[in-house]
Amino acid sequence: MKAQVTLAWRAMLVVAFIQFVTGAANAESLHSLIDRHLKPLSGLELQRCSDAEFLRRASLDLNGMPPTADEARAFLADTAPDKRERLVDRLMASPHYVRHLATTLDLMLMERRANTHVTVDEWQAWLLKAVRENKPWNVLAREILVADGDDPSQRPPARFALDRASEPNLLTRDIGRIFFGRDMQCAQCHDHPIVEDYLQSDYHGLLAFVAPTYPIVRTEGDKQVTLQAEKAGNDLTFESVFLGVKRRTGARIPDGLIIDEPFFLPGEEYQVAPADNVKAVPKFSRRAKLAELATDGSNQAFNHNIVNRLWAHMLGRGLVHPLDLHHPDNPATDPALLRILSEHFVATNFDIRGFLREIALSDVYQRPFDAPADLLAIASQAAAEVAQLDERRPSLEAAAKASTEAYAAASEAWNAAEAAMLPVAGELDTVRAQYADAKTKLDEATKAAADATAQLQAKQTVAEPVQQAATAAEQAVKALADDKELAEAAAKFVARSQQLVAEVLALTKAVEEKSAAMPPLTDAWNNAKPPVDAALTKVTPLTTSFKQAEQAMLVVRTQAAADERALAALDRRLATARSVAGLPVLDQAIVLAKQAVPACDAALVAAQNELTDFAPIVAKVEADVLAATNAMTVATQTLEAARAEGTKRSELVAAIQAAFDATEAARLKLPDDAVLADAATKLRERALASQSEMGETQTQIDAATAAQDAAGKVLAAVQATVVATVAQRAEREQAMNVANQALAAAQADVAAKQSQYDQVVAELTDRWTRDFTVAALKPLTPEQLCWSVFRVTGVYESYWQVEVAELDKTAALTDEQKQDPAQLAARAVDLEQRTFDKLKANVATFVGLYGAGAGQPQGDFFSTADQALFAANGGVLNSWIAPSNNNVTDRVIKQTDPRIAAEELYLGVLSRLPTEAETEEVVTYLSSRTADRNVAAQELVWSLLNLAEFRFNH
Amino acid sequence: MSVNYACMSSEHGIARRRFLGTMAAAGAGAMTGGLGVFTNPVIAQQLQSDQKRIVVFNMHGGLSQLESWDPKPGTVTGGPFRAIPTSVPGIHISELLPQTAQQMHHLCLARGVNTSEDDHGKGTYMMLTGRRQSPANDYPQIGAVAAKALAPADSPLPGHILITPGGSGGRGNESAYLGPKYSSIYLGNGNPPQNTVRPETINEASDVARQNFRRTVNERFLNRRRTAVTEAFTYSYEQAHQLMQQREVFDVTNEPEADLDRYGKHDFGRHCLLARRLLERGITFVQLSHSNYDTHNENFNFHIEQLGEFDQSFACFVADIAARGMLDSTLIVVLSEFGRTPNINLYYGRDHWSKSWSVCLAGCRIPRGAVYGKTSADGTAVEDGQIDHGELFHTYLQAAGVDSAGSFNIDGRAMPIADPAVTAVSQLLT
Repeated sequence: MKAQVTLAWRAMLVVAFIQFVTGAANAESLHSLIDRHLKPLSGLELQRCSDAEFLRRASLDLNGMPPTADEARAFLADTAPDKRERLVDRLMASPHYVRHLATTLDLMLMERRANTHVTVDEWQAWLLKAVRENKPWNVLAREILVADGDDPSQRPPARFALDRASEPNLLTRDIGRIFFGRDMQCAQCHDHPIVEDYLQSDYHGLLAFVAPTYPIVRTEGDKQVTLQAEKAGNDLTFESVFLGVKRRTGARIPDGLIIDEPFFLPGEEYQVAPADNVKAVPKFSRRAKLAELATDGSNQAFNHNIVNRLWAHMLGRGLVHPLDLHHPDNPATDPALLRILSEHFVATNFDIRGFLREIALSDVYQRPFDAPADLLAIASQAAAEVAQLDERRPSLEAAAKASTEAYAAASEAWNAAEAAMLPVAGELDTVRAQYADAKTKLDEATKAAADATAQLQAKQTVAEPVQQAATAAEQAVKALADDKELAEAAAKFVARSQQLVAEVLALTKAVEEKSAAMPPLTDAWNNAKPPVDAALTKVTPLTTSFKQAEQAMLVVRTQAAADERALAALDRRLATARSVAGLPVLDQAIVLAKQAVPACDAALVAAQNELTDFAPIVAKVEADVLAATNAMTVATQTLEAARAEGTKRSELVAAIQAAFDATEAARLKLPDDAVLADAATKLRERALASQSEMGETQTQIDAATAAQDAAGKVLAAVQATVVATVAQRAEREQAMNVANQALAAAQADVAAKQSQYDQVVAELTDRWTRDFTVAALKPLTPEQLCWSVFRVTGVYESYWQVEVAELDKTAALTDEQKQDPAQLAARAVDLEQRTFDKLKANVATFVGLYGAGAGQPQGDFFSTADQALFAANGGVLNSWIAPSNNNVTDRVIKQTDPRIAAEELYLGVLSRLPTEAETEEVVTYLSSRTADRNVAAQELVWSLLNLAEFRFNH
Repeated sequence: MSVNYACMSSEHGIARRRFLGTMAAAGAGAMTGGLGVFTNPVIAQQLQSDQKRIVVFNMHGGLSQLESWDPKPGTVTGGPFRAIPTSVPGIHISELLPQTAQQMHHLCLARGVNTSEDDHGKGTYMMLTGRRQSPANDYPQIGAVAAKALAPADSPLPGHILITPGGSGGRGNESAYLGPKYSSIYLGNGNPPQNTVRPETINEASDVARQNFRRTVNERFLNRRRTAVTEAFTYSYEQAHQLMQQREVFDVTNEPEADLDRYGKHDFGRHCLLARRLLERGITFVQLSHSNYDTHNENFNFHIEQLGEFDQSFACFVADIAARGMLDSTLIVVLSEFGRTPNINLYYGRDHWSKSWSVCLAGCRIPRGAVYGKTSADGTAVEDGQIDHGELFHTYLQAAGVDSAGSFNIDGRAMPIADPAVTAVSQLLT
């Protein structure tokens, strides 16, 4: 109790201090500070996102589901200038805000780990209550860090550790990640290989806080309850697997110093000492100390982590991103803003609700998700910013270099101080262990002696009356000497008495021996103490100088980290500005490249004309060739005909000659035969005539040959022209090809320059998402997706109405109660819980499909075919879309005016009005489906539910 | 099957729940007819020759090495079965694997496995992730690693398939920090993936209409802002569409009846045939399990029964993969969470034993017809070629062409693909 008072007092002091320091800044609202720090690049005029976008965005971020169609319609119709602020307040007053924030905290803290030691209901109820009461984050975190699961009211927060099986390394990793924003897992076995700033000693410093904690199982009735017990903590020694250097650390919080711990002699460390089934409680609890140091407002890592996570909840990514990699090489988008946010958060007593509200009201939160257009217009302003930043850079660089060097030197001094301390600390360990050993032996001996004494006393208690009885019996035997039975009985008494006497003697001896063993052990114990004192005296100055070196190191380490962050952040801004400033050059290159195109175009046209102009020449030559070829053919045919005639005639001449020769031969034998003579004469005449005809034919042949020769020459001449013409045409074709290629090259050049430009613009869009110039597309979590589908399909509303009716029946509010805002709020909480309980089983389906595995970070987006298959073919989604109860499908079906039907559809599913083109699309779709309008309406609703526009919060 | 062989660990409970799940789902798994393509070596050639695939046979419960890969006949620990010669002269395996013995020239036995972990859950974890379970870190299983490292990025087919003995389908959770994208799609009792059939209430025209409308409106939004995540989201719908069209890939009923006869008319035979079909169609990783080898009682009777099934199906599978020319690109692994004690207990059973047992490998860079490692005469200790889960894990990946010494970049964090403290065993790689 006293510790808590001290803690609260300390926290108040810190808060007061920070309020004092930041007092001046507090005059300005946080949201305007945010806007002042995350200024877009010079010249960039950013509009706010549309009302519909803001409505959906804020509803999803603050209530975990989009608005109803009616809410959307009302908000869009509202013309009041403060309607966005009023919306934020309305959303934050809703029980859905409590549910959504509790779910968000659950995911952040437990990452879907199984409920083993605390039930889902207990855990959720605790988170809901915390959010509803707006429990300050530091209180919530403190409860989680200290809870041991014993106090029933503090059982739920113990889940963080219990459902991680109280495993020290797992707790170190997850406390590091979730509460301090540092994933130091890789620093478990060596300094972090990639993140220079994560040291192995940071990991072990944090581990030292949780290492003494261990789970015990206590039987309560028929239940087994697991609790966390805690041992007294020791220094941890460790060694880099790379370097083999031995190191040592006490408990140390990230960004903090090794804690001062009271020194206890072994055996004096506990309020409740460890034993079987006993919850050990040390006099000094490291876990309580961790909770105190983390949450008192002074730990920067703790404060930065939570504001960064809350920021990411609203903006889709952290100022530092990934959320668990805070280190100098991964600076915040604006390191100064992160500091201001965290100071404000601490100064407002870790008020989550107020903080989220301020973010929601900032311009940065209300930016549209479209990439900025017309970047060329701001290039000169960007260039001016480049010049400014360039001017500032050298001093930042020098500062970073100087502080990094100072850090290196301080690190060396710190390592040296540690090396000097290590052997002496080891000596203290040894003598402490010897003292503990001596104490254990003495304690055992003391117990043995006490046990023996107790046994002796017990035995004596029995021995005395038996002895008296034996004596009495013996006297009785003397008196009644003949009584045999009495004698036997007396003998038994005597025997028993003697045996007891022997036993008492033996025990007496044992007591003596055991008592005799004690003085040397007492001496040994007494002797073991001075070495402890001596070692303690010896190690204290070394520890002190080690801690001083550590403190000196921490100061410069923090400075170096801040300087490096500032430089890296400037470089990021510089790169963005440079990209924009460089756009005109790229644009000019496009212009130049484009200018080359018309000339190439003209050249191509000219070359084409040349080719076209040449066509008649080619045609004429082709005609000449044809004519000459034809003439040649005719001449050849004529010659061949003449030759054939000649051949025929020469055959005839030969035949007549033969006939004349035969006639002559006959006439010589019959000289006076007149017939023969006449025949011979006629034949000679005929032969002479034939020979003359033969001569004519030869003349014809000669003429034809000459004609063919002439035709041949003409053909040869024409053919020579053809070769020349073909060559000329090929030249012109070639020229055209070249011109064509030149044009293609010029066009390709334009395309390449354009693509260079586009790539820079795409990179800029990425940069602008990272520096919050444009809104990110935030994938809905599985829970958001599930509740969003329920909301827009009307399933949620119809279940809600069932609960309203049920409560009106069983616990109707009186008219008076209906006027009481507190009563109404309580009723809303009740309705939300009842509706949630009815529908929550479906969330598991979505988590199974859209959620990451248990114990894995839950923020990474992934898309798989089985999700799309579920959406298309899974029974549930299709059944929720079916028309019922005036849900969006039903309204689209019943609406006779197709334009209003389109409006119902878009307002219902996407919380916005359709554009004219979209309206037309829907009108066309529905008008072609008069026969199955029911089916068509379901198709439309399904389509809109499966858009990127629905899947993402934008 | 009245033999009560199993110990009372939670693994059996899970297997039983899955089994009961199947019973409940029986009759619901209606399958549509596919194209009925007759598979042949041409298909194998069509697969990109450099694309490697992995198939893991998980002998659930702990296969006895003495009744399988490393028999010790005639010794006090050897049990009643003989060792028989195989297709590789000099290599003998148990007589319970006569058909597998004829495929020995394709196989390689690692007989010196020592994993020092006798717990079912922990042993399974080690054999499938190549690392010891650590409270602060969860590691991806071999299937997730294979899917990330080997599967073509643009394939509509899932890269990581688990054929479970029973249960319905769904997505597994074996990918740790690699993310759910690489988790298994499991085919409950060999049935095709969930939701790959259009519900009867939606006709094809209606589905086409709504998908087209979705594409049009979606494209308009993307014109305002297109990012890697919107692309991934949009692509998942096309992937789903292609997966539905390729559903027949998962439909083992399209395989020839004669093959089903050869593989054996039981679930495991059907699962092996399905594995062949999936690998032929380019699925990167398939894991199937044969249950249950946890034979604390009646070890010998039970191994006769179980291995009878396994031998036939596995031998057919190996022979078919080899005949199709796929062995050079397909890594085959037969593993368990551990082996079984050389000592035979009072109930004729063998208990959990991880000090000296065997894993069978084949394909890719694994030597053919080889034995690596040796146990003592009574099988109680490794004498030569000792290998553990971490080295095996590296070896699987190296065999399939993955640089197991490299790292995955996960959100700016370099995560070693396999345990950096150990390396692959070069004797198991050609």
